[in-house]
Amino acid sequence: MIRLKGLSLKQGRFELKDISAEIAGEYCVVVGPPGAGKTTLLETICGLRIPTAGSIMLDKTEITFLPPGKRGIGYMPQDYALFPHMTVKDNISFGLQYLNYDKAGSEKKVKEISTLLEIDHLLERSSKTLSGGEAQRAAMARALVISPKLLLLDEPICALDEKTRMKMIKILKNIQRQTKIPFLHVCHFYDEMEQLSDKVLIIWEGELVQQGTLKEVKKKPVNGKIREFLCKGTAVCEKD
Amino acid sequence: MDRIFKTTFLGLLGLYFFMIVLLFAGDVSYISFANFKEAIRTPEIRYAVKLSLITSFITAILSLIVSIPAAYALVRWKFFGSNFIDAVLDLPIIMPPLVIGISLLVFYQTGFGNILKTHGLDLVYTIPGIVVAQFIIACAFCLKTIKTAFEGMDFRLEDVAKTLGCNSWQAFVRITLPLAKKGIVAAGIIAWARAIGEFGPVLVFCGSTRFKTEVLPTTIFLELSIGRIESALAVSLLLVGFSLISLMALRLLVKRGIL
Repeated sequence: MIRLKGLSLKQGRFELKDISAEIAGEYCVVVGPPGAGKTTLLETICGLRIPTAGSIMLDKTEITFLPPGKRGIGYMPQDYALFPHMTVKDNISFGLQYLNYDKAGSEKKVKEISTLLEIDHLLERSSKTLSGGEAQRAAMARALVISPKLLLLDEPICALDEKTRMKMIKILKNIQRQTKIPFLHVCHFYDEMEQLSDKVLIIWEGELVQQGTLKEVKKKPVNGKIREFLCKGTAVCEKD
Repeated sequence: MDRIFKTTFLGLLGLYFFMIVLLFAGDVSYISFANFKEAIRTPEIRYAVKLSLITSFITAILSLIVSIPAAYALVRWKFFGSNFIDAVLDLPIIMPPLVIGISLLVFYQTGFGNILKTHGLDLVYTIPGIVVAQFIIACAFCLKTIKTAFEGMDFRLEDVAKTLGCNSWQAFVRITLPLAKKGIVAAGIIAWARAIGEFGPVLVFCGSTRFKTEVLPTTIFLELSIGRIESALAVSLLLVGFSLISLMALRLLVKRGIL
């Protein structure tokens, strides 16, 4: 379980303001218009930005000021950020080296996760040669292989074609059900939110304006903009 | 239309290539092989060759050691005065090299220079002084090249590496350095090439004492000044040969993925 308490961050003109939320082993979708602070929130949770106030608890450990690699959080940024000078296998096993896995243990873990994500045939390929869907799954495998206690996904399927996106929605949901760890998934699309979310966080201008199940937030949206977004069922970015 | 486009671009490439080739072909035709061999066998030229190779190699290594972190800092972090620092670091590129030599000489007449002198760091007319004179110019070129390599880099890759367990040093060594490899090799070549060909600052700051501070460019100058054109040409061709072999070897190593 991840617990954010009064999490704030000031960076230039932008501010994350007093964000408090609790996400247990559920699939949580973070939505909001571009520039609302969704990516900043994920980067703060995984330790790439230091909050100016508040705390982050993961299970029973406070991780607010821990270095990113010591938090036990898997992070998949926008555009996947695979290491282009490595093979898919090296990308996936990268984090295991810092968890003191020996070669055999590392290979076993890589094999398991790549089979789960159906990319075991791509392991020897250079990551530069992958298609969008393949790169997405490789990045997902790299984030999951370290057995994180929380997975952060920043627009993980936004850039994929419709067919691959639908397939990935099923895979993501399935993995979350299997691992039972909280997923925090930033997205722009209503259908993603509808199919994936157990819980929704709505971020607006750096503030967490509403949270709950999709049904709850749809029933009582806190303002007109959110009502419009939730009722129209289209991408937030198209409307703001 | 496409044909004219291609012909124009290739034509200009060929023009410049042949200008350089003809220039050195003229040198080669001017001097006989026997004279060339005789000139480069003289002990003073052999000393200059050795000193040039050693000092330029040290300069290239020092330039890389300083430039890699300096270029990274300039690209990665925006801090107060970074634009001013960047501009100052470009000065050795745009200033006449002779100015660096004069400035180095004058520096050793100032208070801080005198303190260095009294602590055994008097580099005027010394071999370490040659490295310093070469370094100040070569490092600026090296830094500029590495900076360009870093500017094209996606630093989110480092961020991801950190979330996977790396600290900043490990992320830099495992992600950024390999991705900037080609730029760094190019920068090393440029630093070495600048260093081995550096004349003005070396002559002003270290003089050109035979069997002491004489490097290849100063040999060319000395030989020319006493009218030994064939000898000066022999050294020039030697310099061209070293440079061409080194450049080709490094390109080959990069192409084969060894570097």
